[in-house]
Amino acid sequence: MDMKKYIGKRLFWAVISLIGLSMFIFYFGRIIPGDPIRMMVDPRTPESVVEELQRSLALDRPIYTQYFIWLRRVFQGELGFSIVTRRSVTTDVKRYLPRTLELIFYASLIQIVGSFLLGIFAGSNINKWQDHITRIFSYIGVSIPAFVFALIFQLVLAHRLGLFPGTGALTRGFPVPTERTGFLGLDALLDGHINTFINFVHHATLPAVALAIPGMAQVARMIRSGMITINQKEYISMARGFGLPERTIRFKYLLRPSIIPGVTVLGMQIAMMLGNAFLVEMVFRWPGFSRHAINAMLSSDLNTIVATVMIIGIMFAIINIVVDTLVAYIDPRIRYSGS
Amino acid sequence: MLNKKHIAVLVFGILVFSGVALSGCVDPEEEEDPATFLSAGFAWPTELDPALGTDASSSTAYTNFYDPLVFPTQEGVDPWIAEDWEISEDGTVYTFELRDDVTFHSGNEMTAEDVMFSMERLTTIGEGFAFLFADFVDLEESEVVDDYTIEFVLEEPHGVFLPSLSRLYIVDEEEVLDNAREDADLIYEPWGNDLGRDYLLENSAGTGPYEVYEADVTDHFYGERFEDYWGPMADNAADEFRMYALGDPGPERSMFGDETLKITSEWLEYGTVTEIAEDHDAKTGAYFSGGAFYGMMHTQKEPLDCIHVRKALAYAFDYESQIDDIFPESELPEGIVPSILGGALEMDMPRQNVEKAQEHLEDSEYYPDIVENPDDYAIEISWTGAVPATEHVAGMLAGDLEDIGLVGESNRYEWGALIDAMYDKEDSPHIAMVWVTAQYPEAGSLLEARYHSRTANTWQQNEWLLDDDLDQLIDEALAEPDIDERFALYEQIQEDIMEMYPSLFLHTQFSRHAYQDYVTWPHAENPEEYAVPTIGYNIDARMIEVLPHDER
Repeated sequence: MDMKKYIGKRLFWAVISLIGLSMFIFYFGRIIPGDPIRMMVDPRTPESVVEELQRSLALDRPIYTQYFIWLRRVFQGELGFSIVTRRSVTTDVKRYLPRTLELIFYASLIQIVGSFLLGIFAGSNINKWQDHITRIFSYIGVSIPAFVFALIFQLVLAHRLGLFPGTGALTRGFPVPTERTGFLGLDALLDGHINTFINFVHHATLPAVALAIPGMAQVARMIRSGMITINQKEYISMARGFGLPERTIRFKYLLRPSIIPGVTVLGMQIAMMLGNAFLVEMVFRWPGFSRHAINAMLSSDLNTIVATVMIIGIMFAIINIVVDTLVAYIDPRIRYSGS
Repeated sequence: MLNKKHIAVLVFGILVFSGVALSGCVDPEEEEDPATFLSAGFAWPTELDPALGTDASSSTAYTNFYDPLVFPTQEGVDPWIAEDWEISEDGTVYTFELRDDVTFHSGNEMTAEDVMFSMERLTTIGEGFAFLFADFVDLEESEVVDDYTIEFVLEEPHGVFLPSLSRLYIVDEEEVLDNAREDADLIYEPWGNDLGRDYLLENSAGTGPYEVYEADVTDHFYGERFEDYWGPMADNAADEFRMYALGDPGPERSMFGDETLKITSEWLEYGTVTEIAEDHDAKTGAYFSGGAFYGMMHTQKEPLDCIHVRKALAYAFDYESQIDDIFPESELPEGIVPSILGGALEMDMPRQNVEKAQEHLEDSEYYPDIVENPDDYAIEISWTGAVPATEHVAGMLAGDLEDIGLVGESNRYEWGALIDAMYDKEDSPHIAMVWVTAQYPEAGSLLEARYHSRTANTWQQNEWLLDDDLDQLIDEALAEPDIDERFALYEQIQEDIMEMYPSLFLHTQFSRHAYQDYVTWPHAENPEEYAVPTIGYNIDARMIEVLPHDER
């Protein structure tokens, strides 16, 4: 199977999965207890007003009709009305999602670099102190959720030591960048406000590191295990027997096959960051979409809940395709077995 | 052993970390002086539009960014935008003389047309505080007499109309209509637009002491002092007032520590508030927040449909321990409604007396069955996950019930699920533990919200009293224009309700906050004199002083 067909097939199944996901979340979002309108308004609001609000959100229609109304509007770029912000969910997504994405981008950089460095560091020094330290870090990293790291970092590095800001994305007094892309850091650079950009990175560091650690630990462990397994293969012994330089063996023959499972997991870990960001954004009051989504869920804000799950679903789908393509590129056997 | 490569990696790591940490040394272009602003944490979402919200945080926004027609006090209401008023003998015509020196943040002059528009907008949208006016005000007959005189005509006498006007916030008609959308989902006739709903989500169009200059409906509202404000301001009132979405201890500690936050939010646990204050040598203060905490007993569900069982519960519960162990900032109730409200009656309230509780239980027709099959009469005690402390109260009550031979089952509900359950008489739990607050400074507000049949399918009443005589008496009291007679009727209502033992009167609610030591907050420091018995009026930034450095 050539690469184009391979990607096409992956895209097709991704779209089918997303439609299934939208039906699932739409249905379950609407059968959980808690009438969103009654939660939104004062209990003494007249029944006529409640009914009018229900009508405007099509909540008085059968669920399947509501779904098709929603789907039609989605294709028009309209994600529905939010009962928390009392405006279009599309507006909220445009305003808050870039802040979350740039945090995830920063966290992903830390995760990719950190996991590869640690994995190779440990895998190249099996049963030495470097390996032991990495393993201890990995066990701690995979067993503690991101938000706990967030709380610890906030308390120690921000609150007690004052090395980092504890909340927000920008210190007041720095010029707020002109909104061009919605990405605060990027807009600051485009405006030429280097200090604003540095201040933004300073704010983003603790939440990004907290988000990155669990995935980093997981992937580092996989790369280390992969390197140990591959190291025992006959072709590696043969390469050593032929007297090839250790650097060539390590990076050309040992590392490349070792990182395939790591790359797959890394992709999933990056996609999962959107979910993990929920609590991390709450802890650091990061003005992103995940924090907004938590409030929406607590308030039964149906359209925001659906939008949130769909965004996470789309991120998973995209990253899945990217990872599959990358893995197929690294190991062509995977591509051919797909046929 | 460390080799050169390892040392290089280590040094590189330390350099990266230090670089990022030191990036905090980059100075902003304008250094902010913490003495220039006042900020407070609030539960969110908060509505900035005065036609939408009724909760504490939204009401606080209205207090600071808008002006009400009259201002609530411990004695009733004071003149505010309305300087003076007359009430017709039959209690149906209220004529208000308005101040002539009030301007909106837009620079427009405030006139009686704006007051009329504010009433029309509120009642047309029908949300927020509209329920206080929509059924009573006859907008067809009401009229603007001249620029500074307005006449509200009521369909029938409604004595609490005047105190309710502390919830009519004046909006700028011109600014609102200029920014109204005609393509919104909700369109109001005859205007043919959204009456500025979309615009007022993140903008203020009021006359209040602070003017919104930055808003994020999910996160914060920032207001700067309105230079042309007509009303009284404290000498060192802050230049800015900021409201933050908060409630989690972590961010509050952090923001209080770096002085971004001056007043912590009201839903932090007592211990956290105390710790924050101790950590930063800050002050703590509490004031009556307008409401009370009730254990609402379903009077139409077995075995609570028997008054003896309800009395048994009322005497079984350990009220003092609940205050000591869970809500130390609050106070034991002295009546059905908090005594600070106008017309509240101080009464001899039930306190724990296990012997008496046992006697009442034995008087119940259910007693023989309860002894035989206690599980068949298990009492569901619902609490909401939104306020974890209520779980402790539910557990405490279940334990107290066990002491007299009853079975109590503590059940967690999410807030939405509890609202749904209480909407239906059959699904309502045996006991719902909920706080309810007064919307104007009179006992009538709480008596109506808690015990009138019109609230029986809402989260404000789980008792399902559905008592026609009581409804009639409450209606009669609310309609009574003479304040003394109205208060006398309130007292009678409270005595009648107490005879039914419909609720566990758990505590009078106080809001406790930590606040910076250089902040002088009269409402929290001297609540007997300054606290306003209406939610949203106690974080009134214009009266709170933030002392400059040289005066600390």
